Amino acid sequence: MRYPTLPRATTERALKSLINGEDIELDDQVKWQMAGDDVDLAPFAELSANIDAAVQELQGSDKDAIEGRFSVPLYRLVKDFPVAVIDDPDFWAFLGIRYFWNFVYWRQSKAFDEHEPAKYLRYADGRSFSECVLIRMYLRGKTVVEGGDPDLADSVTEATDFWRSHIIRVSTSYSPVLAAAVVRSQATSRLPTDPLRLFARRLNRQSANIVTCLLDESDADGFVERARNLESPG
Amino acid sequence: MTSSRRAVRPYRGVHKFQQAIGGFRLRVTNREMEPGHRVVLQSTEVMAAPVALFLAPDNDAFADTITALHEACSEANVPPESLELAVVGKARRVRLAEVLWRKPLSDVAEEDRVLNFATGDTASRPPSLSCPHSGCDIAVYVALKDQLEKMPLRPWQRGTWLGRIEFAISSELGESGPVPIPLGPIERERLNLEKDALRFFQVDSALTAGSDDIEYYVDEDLLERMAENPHSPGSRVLQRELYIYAMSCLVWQASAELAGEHMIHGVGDLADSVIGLLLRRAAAAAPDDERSSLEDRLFRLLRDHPVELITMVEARTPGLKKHWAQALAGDK
Repeated sequence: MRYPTLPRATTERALKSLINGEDIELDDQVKWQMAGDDVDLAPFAELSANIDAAVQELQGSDKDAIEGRFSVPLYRLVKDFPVAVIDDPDFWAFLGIRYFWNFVYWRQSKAFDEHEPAKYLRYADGRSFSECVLIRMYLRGKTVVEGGDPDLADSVTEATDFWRSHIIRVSTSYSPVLAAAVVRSQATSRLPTDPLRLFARRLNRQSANIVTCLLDESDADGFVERARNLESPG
Repeated sequence: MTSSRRAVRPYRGVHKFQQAIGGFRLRVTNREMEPGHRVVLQSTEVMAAPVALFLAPDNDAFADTITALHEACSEANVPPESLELAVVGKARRVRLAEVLWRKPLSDVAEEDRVLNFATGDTASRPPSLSCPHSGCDIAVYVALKDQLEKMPLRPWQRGTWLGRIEFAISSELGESGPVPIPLGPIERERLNLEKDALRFFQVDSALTAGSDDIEYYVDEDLLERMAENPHSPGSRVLQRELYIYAMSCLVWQASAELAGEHMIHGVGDLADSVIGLLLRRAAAAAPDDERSSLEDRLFRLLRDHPVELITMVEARTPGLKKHWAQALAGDK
């Protein structure tokens, strides 16, 4: 499958122009990788339009909820691509700039409006799997679909830090059933910030003794339940 | 007892499992790797290199390994039927953990002593071995496959591992080791740090943590400047300084945890935690017949004299003095 990428230097220039409200011409800058038939990009344009419409409709609401809601459709568009494509930061940079710029900007507008690359590049250049808006959406969609319950994607409100710090960035994300159990527990009975951090520390400590990708759903639920029992010695 | 001083692996006999699988070797193309080692490949090689795990170098040694595993089962008081040998491939950027192979421990003797996970055929290559940016970590576990009755000093929860080794296949395109997390205003507030904090290290259990369990923050502006000029003298000095800082934090915390720990007696008990890898790599250059005693000495330093261990890590950081000297002289 041939797929498009944006080299890092091009990504940086394009983002600078977009933030300044300038038009960009990308076609000559795109580098196509691998061989075979070109990837069908039309579904990405369609998804982008749907996201933009939802943002317009729900302006001012929980931004993370929108991210969560569309993480599953994004995951489903990409999930059957060769893993080498999903692993390529420059592919995500292309998607973010070519198709999803309005959403990426809206989602992290505070960082982009500072006009400092150090503040905004991580959300769009594809280098950081836990910060880049589209990659973290893909991983969120992957977690809940492979974890068996797509509805979990937006089941926790105001959950930006929850997903980043307690699911995607840590080893919990290697086990979709465990990650889904953590999300389910937070959706069912929300822990405030400090108890959530305590729970996460206990979970990470207990996970160090377990091959989490060998757990099934019932194991994972019991595992999370024990870590959430903050009265126990842990 | 505080949570940080609690025994994290309070099981009998785990060191015997660790010893039994410590002889496994990973072969990538024609390179043979010991547990805890890393190989860096071109991105095209990551996608095509044959990968195989050697459970033993020959059939006699394989029989010895099987015997050692069964003896470990007896000491741990766990029947071999309740354990499995599992090989997991992990690709970091795509957060993929893929079981490449698993067998009940009681059946491993009937298997071939060489497990082939990838040949040159890309069509049948496992996804975790097909990531040119992430590379792959390959972990081998002896783990509980059944839920057992709870008993003192015996693991009971399905998935608990009793032995673990890891090998790393890195790509020239990717990163290795703990990846610094940009430290900005949001992170400073969340972590209760001062507004001008430049770096911060956090890990729940330094004695067991793998690289994904370590949270290592560095000021976002400094990180970006380093990324813009990765080969400047200042950048090279800072990269090594940040590495030494992270390892120093890890050594201090691990040393403090050891003070209240009664189940860890040597490097072998640290399995493939980052601290275990650090000690093994520090001892790797020693001749074969001296390596074990050097590992023992390094473990004693970790327990009793962490400052000396940190000095040793710093002394073995490649290019440190040269880059400090270049920076001081203002060389380009």
